[in-house]
Amino acid sequence: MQRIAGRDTAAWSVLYDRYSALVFPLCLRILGDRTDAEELLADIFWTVWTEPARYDPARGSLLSYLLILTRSRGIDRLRSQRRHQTVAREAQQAGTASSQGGGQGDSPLAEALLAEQRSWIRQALGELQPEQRRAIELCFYEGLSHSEIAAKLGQPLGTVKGRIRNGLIHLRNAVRSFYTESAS
Amino acid sequence: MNCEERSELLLLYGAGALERQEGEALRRHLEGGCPRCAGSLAEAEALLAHLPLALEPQSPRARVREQLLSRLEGEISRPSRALRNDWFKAAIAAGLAASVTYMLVALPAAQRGERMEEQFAQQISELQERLASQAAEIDRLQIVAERAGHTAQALGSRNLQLVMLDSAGPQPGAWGRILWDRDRGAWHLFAHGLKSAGPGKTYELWFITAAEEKIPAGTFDVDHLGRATMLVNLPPGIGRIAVAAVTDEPAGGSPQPTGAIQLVGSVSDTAA
Repeated sequence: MQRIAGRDTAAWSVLYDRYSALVFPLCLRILGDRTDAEELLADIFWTVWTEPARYDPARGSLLSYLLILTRSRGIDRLRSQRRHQTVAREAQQAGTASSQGGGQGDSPLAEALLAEQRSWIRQALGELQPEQRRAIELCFYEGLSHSEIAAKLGQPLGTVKGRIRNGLIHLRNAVRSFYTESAS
Repeated sequence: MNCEERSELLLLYGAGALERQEGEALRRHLEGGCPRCAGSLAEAEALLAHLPLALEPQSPRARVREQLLSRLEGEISRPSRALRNDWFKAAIAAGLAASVTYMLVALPAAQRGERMEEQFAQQISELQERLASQAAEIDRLQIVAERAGHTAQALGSRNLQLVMLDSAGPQPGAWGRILWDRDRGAWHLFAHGLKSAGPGKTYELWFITAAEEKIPAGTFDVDHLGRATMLVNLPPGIGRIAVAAVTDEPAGGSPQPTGAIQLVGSVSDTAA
């Protein structure tokens, strides 16, 4: 990021190549539309270029920063679309170029850690009940509140609250265990 | 509501699941500078940042990169940034000078004070958040180090006994060991191969005496690899323990076993 702050486009390119394939699925998952998702992705990486100081290494990894920023801006866009009643709900998957190389150019150790994180979070999510997972996804990827999720799923508010709460606590405990393991 | 209870709400707050009023109360508490809750929020944000990693990596179309790179290069090729910076610096300096003059001359002292107070409060809040995050990490590492220290201490005990726990059926691949430090009256449980107890459930260890009295020894959860460790101090005057067992129980544990026995092992009355 220091090199980017120094207006080094090569450094920006490395960062884009390393993380765009990990950030883009989140854009697509939130907005559902490929063109919208690419606009959001461009917005995120433009922010990286114009405001490199926004990233504070003390608060977490660069990937975490990019994903949190993407989620925040994606939800803002989604809500704006909802307000204008122009939300397009069908993802345009055609012509998608899939890539397994989310960590190109990264060190082997960082790539291994990322692969382990991805495998572990999938496992932790897989351990949730389908209803819990669905409620958490509606909350995280669609920015819906408890009451909005309850209305959408046609379920009692208390049930939805409990599912999200218990699911997130399970994931939090899994995170703690993962990093305790990594540290020990 | 205490901070322990808030830590769960902060998970929901971070995920954006709370209603406006619920979130507002938490926001006010966080603004009050509570370091523990700031740490909990940082942990919640870190957790949430992991969720998108479950999505399959997917590349955007190549033209996105090309267009962005072209925009970046266009931005650089505009009047030299250094020159623009000089211009900006001059403009900012002039603006600041005007602002300071305005503040000194035109604004009442109380208003100036309020602005400065707001700026300081913001800076303090940011620093507190960082400190809280670091304090939470230190706490976590201390727990890891403390556990390792206890285990090492037990291994150095002259009066050490090993209790073998085997699967009782529901989970054939599960097993456990208890290092019984008789000098200190402590059990160090190591469990392996257990599945997650599931939502709303946990695992509970039991002392079972020769008189078949079942005494709860503590609850634990397993990590993503099915492992767990727990340190238990034996209650004074418990008498001879004949069996150790692990059952699955509702979260928080039960006073008497209600779930299936997952691990079990007999405890001999002699130390190795």
